[in-house]
Amino acid sequence: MKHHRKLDEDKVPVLSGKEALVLELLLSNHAAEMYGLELVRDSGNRLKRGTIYVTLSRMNDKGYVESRQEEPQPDVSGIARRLYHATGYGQKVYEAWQLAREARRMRTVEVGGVS
Amino acid sequence: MPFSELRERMKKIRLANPVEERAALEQYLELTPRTRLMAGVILGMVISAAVVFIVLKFVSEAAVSMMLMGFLAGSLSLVMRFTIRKNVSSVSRPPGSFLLSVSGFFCSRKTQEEVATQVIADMRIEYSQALFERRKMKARWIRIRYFWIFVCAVGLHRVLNVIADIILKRSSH
Repeated sequence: MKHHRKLDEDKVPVLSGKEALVLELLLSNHAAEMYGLELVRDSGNRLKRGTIYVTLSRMNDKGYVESRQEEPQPDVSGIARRLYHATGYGQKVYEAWQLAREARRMRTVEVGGVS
Repeated sequence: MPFSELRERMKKIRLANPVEERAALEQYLELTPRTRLMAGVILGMVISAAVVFIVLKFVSEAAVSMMLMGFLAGSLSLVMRFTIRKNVSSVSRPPGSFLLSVSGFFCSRKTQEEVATQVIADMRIEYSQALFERRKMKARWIRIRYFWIFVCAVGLHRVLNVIADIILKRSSH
């Protein structure tokens, strides 16, 4: 079940540092789908266990990521975990965020060089 | 059986089997379920009374209510430890079951599905990994750590803060 909010087309999408990191990890992963705990481990403790699912839930609402329940296996019992993957929209927002960050870095270098 | 003989016997079986060790001690002390219950209750009461006395004497009143609850829970667990026989088989729930039921009461269905359940699933994975590696202390630490992670992730710390504020305000009046 998806919980996407209605996207406001006039609003420019914004990425927080954590959201950008999550997208970076999801996009750099060849398997494309990752568990929350995998993201925490791969981030080298930059993402926390207490906040990762809240962040992912918010990103799901914004449409940056999508999730699905893992398929139940006959031998394994327990809670079904969720697998997350970046959407095309999330990938574009991440690329735009990278470009904006790069532009700001260049601007900082220019301003630093003048002064 | 003289005490020295018991001590030697305990030394031999201590590392071998804790259930046998307990049975030998109970046999020596001739403990019945009723005496175990009485001993547990008395011990719990004595510990609680001592702790309350120390806290009331040396610590400010604001902290009393919080500490009292913790120590009462501790003494209750001591009573349980003395009264419940370890070798009786029991059905235990997997870790995190209580937290899941709590979150089911406090949280929305979406938070339950996307946050609470996932945090508990992670805890069970890390917990079972630690048990598989035979690291019991690490497994216990994971349960404690994930309790706080769960509270923060689900937002229950706000509820706890409100309760703490009420207790502190009441104790300050």
